[in-house]
Amino acid sequence: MSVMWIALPVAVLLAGAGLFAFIRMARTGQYDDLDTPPLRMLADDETIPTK
Amino acid sequence: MTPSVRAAFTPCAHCSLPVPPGLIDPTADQHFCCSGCKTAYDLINSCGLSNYYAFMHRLNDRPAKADSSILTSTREEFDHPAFMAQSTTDAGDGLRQIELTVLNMHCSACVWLLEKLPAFIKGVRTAQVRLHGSALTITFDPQIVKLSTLLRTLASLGYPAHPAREVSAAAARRINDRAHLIRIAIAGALAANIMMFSFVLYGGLFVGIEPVYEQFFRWLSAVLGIVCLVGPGMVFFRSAFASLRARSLNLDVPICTALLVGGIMGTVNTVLGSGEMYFDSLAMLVFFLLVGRFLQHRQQRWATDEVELLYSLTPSTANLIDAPGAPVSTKVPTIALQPGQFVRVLPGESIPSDGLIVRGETAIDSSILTGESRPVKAELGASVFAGAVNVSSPIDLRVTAAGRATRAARLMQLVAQGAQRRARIIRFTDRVASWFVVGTALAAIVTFLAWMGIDKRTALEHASAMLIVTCPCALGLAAPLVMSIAMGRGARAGVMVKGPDVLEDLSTPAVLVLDKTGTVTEGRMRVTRFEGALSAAALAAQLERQSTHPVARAIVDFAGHLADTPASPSSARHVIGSGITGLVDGLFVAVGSPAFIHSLGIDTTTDPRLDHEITSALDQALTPVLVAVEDSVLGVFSLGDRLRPEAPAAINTLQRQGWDIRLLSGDDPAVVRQTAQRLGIDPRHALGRVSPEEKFDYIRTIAAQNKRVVMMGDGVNDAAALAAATVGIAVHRGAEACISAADVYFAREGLDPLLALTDASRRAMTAVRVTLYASLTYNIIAGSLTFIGLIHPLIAAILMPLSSLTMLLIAMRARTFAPVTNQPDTLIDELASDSANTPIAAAPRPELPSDRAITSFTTVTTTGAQA
Repeated sequence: MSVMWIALPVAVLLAGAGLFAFIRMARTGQYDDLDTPPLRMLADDETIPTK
Repeated sequence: MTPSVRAAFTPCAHCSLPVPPGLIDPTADQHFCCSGCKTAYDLINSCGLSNYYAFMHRLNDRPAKADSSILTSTREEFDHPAFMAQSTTDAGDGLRQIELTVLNMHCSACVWLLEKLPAFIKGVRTAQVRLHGSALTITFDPQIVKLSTLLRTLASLGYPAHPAREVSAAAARRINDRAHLIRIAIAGALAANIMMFSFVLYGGLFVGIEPVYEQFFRWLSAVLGIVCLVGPGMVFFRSAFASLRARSLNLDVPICTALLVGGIMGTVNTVLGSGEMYFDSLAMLVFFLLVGRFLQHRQQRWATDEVELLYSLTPSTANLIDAPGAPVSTKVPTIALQPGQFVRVLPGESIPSDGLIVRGETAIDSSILTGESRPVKAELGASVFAGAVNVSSPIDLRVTAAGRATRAARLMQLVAQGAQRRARIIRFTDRVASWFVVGTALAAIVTFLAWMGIDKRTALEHASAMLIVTCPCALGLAAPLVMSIAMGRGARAGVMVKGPDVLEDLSTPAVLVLDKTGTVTEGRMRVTRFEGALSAAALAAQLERQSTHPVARAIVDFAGHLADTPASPSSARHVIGSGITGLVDGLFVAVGSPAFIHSLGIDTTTDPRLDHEITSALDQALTPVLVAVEDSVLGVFSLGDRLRPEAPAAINTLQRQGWDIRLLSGDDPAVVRQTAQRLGIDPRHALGRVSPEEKFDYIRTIAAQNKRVVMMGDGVNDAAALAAATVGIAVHRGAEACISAADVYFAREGLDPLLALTDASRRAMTAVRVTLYASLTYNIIAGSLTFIGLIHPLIAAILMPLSSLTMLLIAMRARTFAPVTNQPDTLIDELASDSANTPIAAAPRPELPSDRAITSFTTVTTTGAQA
């Protein structure tokens, strides 16, 4: 018996898990808008000086 | 323009525009240019959100000027239950969700402020901005806050908002996008894993591999490969099948042949336990093609989204009345109208639904539906259609069909279907595809026959390998990508192209038909000079205040300063298409064409100076409008539409490129000929007084000679001609119907976008040809290797991604749509050259001393805004 018989199915399973996570993210709309979030994170209340 | 000019003014605390001197309060710390800005400032500060200004300052940006018109508009119509039901969705817990289209939203400070909305308005639970598409999604509690309050608050902040239309279509597209993304992810994961297994197998070729492992890896790649083909790869089979059923060949046909042959051969060889397998290349192919198609899809969407944005901004309310003649009881959104209800339509408003006139008579401009640009008389009992504009007097309607059932809505649906059908064509690559099918099939047959003579057992295998390696995957990826990148860049430069076939059609010179008004001219009537008594001009302006006709507006713009009080409305009579008469300050005044004045029994030739003016105006292709007081003519306005400053140079450039330029217009033939002469267009190809039907026929006649016709126009009456042309181009501020019928929409005015577009088309087609040659070279090399029996899955696995990457590089580097030149500078040049060339400056102009100060102030303000 070689470790190959276990390692390979595990590798495929890991890839499957990643894929599953991605599909979940896409379905919940996290990839719908890629323009606004990068701007949203710029707005941090603490770092903006109040005049 | 310059900093010194700006510094001379006190900036408004909200929008940073200069505050008019009269509004500066020396005792206050902050100054405001209008009450709207003050409201916005107070609101933002009272919520502790003054960081907004610091933020804007850091971005070197400033808030949009707040909308002070909110004081007059309550927007209560949006609280109507029918509207709530149609445009909001249930968000659970008694909350409703709505998507709004918001104007003026452009940077991170806007995102920040708008997403702080729950802090401003009690009852708003969440607010989320989607910058691309200018959308704001709000969840709110209808028990606590009304939709009208929400919209009013947004407007008072300087972000006028409208409920988005076609939300369901947008949502459907979003779901479609997600499915696409998921397919890419699956194909990518499978391709990467298969590649990993293949590397083991390829390694085994060189250093040896135990048969049991070899079989294990082969089975693993086969299983994943088949999943990839029947899962994400299914889209290609569907598309190829659809194309075959339509008795045509698209590029998906040879691609699917390769996928199918490779899949079957690989499966058979896996079961047999020996022979070549191509699952790694096939999975990569599916992955690359899906990515290419996704990018193409997204870029194309830029264009359609922009057009939809425009559509969302059109007003959508109706004045509901209880019975004919009753006062207006409430404003309702047009979609809430029911057949049998009564609505009032005021002059200048568009008709909200199909209906019958039950009270009043008027002139109706139904050009949006019929293409007839002149207003038509509509009497009691006549049916009118939604979308038409009521021109002259108020009418009451009984609604016969509303919302999606109206004739206009059905027309729009037809146009939308037409656009969809057309956008699918990528003719160039489809033509190439048929050659590819023939070529690969021939190569496979020749290979099979040749190898039958050498080694019967491997003949089939070699033929299959030939089909796989000569698959036009690189071309299938590159051509659409070049097109879509060009379209995406175009959309950002203000040129919305609806389909890739447009770029192909514009890449070589053809017949170009321009509608005069609005494309080569500014599209707006202006009084270029006035001859006669100033008091007559003042009387004319007073009378014309009651009309919305373009001529009337031009006269009011010109001479409105001279007269402040409008005459009482009952004294005016508007004769459609020719003129207006009425009593002003007890005097009988008539304003209209020479023929109209003549028909009133007034002699137009008494004053030789004015008579000469009429003749010279006609000679210069201007429209003379006479003012008669009591029984004599006292003044002549000369009206004209100015030529765009960039037009002559642009036309010249296009002509040198080989375009055959024609000019069509509904205007007087003399005007059109004169314009053509100034532009360097052959006057024989400049036709005047062309009706919408004749425009349509003209285009069709040229198209029937198998010539490509590009038509550019802006009026609703151009819609039919635009649809009939090979490529229809709608320009800025064009009517809705015209934009829908066109293949291209320019968000910028003038002819510069047309030059940019033809240039980009040429470059895009060159890039497509380069990719074609590169792809052919690759196929010939791979094909020859296969033919002599040298091909191996390993070589295919290396050549395939390599060729795809080459294509990507070529596609990305195609220089389409170079950056636009600086707008404000050109504006200054235009003004300078205009004053030198046009009759405006040369003509005598009445002095308007009272308005001088304010006029110059406005000029400074607007240039300041562009700095």
